[in-house]
Amino acid sequence: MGRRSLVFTGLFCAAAAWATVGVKEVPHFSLADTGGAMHTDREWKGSTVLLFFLTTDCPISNGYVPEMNRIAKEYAARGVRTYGVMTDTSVPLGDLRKHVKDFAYTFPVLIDPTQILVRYTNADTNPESVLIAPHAGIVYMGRIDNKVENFGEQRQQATVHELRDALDAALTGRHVAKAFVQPIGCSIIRVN
Amino acid sequence: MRQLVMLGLAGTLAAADATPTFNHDIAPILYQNCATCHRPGEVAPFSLLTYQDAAKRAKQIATVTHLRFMPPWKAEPGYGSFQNERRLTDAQIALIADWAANGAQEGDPAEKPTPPVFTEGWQAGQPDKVFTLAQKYSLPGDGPDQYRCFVIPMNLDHDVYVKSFEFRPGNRRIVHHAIVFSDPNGAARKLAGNGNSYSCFGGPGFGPVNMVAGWAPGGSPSVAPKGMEVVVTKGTDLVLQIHYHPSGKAEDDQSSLGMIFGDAPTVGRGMVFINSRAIHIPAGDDHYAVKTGVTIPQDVEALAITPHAHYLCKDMKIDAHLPDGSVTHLIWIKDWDFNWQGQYCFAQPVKLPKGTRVELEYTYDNSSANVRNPSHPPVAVHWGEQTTDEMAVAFLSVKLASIADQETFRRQIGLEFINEFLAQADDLNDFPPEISPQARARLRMAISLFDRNHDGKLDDEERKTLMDFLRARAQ
Repeated sequence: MGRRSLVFTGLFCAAAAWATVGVKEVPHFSLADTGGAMHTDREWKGSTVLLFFLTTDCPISNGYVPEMNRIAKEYAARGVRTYGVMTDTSVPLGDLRKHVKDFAYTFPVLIDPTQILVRYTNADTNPESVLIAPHAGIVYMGRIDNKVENFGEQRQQATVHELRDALDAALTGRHVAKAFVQPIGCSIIRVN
Repeated sequence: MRQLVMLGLAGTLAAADATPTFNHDIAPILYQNCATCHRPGEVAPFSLLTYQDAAKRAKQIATVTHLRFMPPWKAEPGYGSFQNERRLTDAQIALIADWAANGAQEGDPAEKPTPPVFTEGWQAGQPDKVFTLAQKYSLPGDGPDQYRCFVIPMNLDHDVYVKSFEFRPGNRRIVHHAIVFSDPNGAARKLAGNGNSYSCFGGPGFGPVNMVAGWAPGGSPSVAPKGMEVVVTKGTDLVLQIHYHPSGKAEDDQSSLGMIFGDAPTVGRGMVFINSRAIHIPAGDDHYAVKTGVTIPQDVEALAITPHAHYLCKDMKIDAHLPDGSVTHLIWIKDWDFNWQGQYCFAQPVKLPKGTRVELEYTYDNSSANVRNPSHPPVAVHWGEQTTDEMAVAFLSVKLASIADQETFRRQIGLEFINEFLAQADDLNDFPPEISPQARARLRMAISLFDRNHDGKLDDEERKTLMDFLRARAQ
């Protein structure tokens, strides 16, 4: 009996990580980006949406900004709308603006004081990417690529690009082979 | 089932203990082991001095301490005892995990320890000479790490004795570590051409390699004890190698090196260079071992050890086999990481009597499972100085019985180096850069004289006869 309950616990944990992937209604939101422009869930309707969960002081997240910018630019041409989401609600607006300017993000970075998008996706790491396809919901969550394999274990160049693979699949109507790949980075701090 | 019951019992016992708090349990650990870097203006990406700083990163701190990624300390406990060890105990790591899992509470303000006070600016005192990069060095936001050697022209008309080298990173977001080499022959100036810097990896790009100081995050400046100043001879340049790690945005750096001068050294010093160039790692081999060593020619005391290899190396073990048959472990690094290399200073000098054999054994993983493998797919890897080559090196800094022994020791240890070269070399004409051109000519002649059977090689017997002859002359 005890053994079986342990097995179930294991199953439950795995399921929890997967539970966020799939059709789940996008919550109604109205969020400002760091430049002051407002964004609502209405602008997502009918589009493939890519979210990058971020913070200002995470070296792994910051190190990925050039690749995030490249992906945003390349896939914008294919109709993908990319947004950053600031996850640390304790950072003052001035610091957020300075960070976004310094790192020259090419996509809007949303300020999410109640973490509505963190709760919607269950993202728990900076950086973490979430890909939302029209009608299919969340089709991919996790790391951008395998450049950072673990803390202190970094490739000089990525050899597997999970997010790009997911984007290519979603945009051509194919099944996303790997729907979740564990991201490595800084934990998202949930607000109560 | 029994395990479950015991787990339940352990849970009850733990619950009986007070829940750990920042003020009572965590702040002392952070202040002691993390705050040197994790404070405003320092090298770490965020501060951990206040409760708010630490509490919002509680889960993160628990993760990286559990992995022993932080604090960065690579030497295994029980294998050498070192100064400034930054290693948490298992109990401290468990306490942090417990704190993070139980709401990262602040606790009683009355129990909060006083935050540590740090010296601002130069840690070792106002330098006598400060070298600052002539121009800002620009690093793109993206791409591979860069290793840059900056020439420091000392323009000395007399020898100087350096008591302290202190490196101050200009831009802490991109400076990963720094090493200072000395260059008595103007080789670095040539490599720099018309500029004042050049690209280099691992070493300074010329031999023989003479490392005089190093800096890594969290390290304190190397201050020589009285009598052990570093001699920088007239005409010598210094070379500052900086490892840069892109931050995600374009950055500039203008770092500085400060020097405090002292008196002429009175204590004999020597450097034991342990090195193998017999490295031929097949593509895909996940456990390739390199062994080499050196015999210590005088009674010495080891002060510090600096192991060095590149990206494929996983495990480094260096032991001293004493003449009485006992073994002293000098260092063991189980998870070598090129990015966290450095010099390890022994807590107490380690006595190595004449005849001690210092043995190095490094293992390498050249499989595709090694994330740090710079080649994808793996390729055969040999000795060399490039990022895609490998090395097996250790520098052992030693104290001699007297300063009068320095010259003899230098000659003797040079011979031991030659002995290892003759024993291991694939080609006796392929001299390492540590053997000077003048010495090469003499050595070539000696090899031909002692190659009794004229097969172009030295067997063990021939090599022993040659070495006995050379050692007798070096006394």
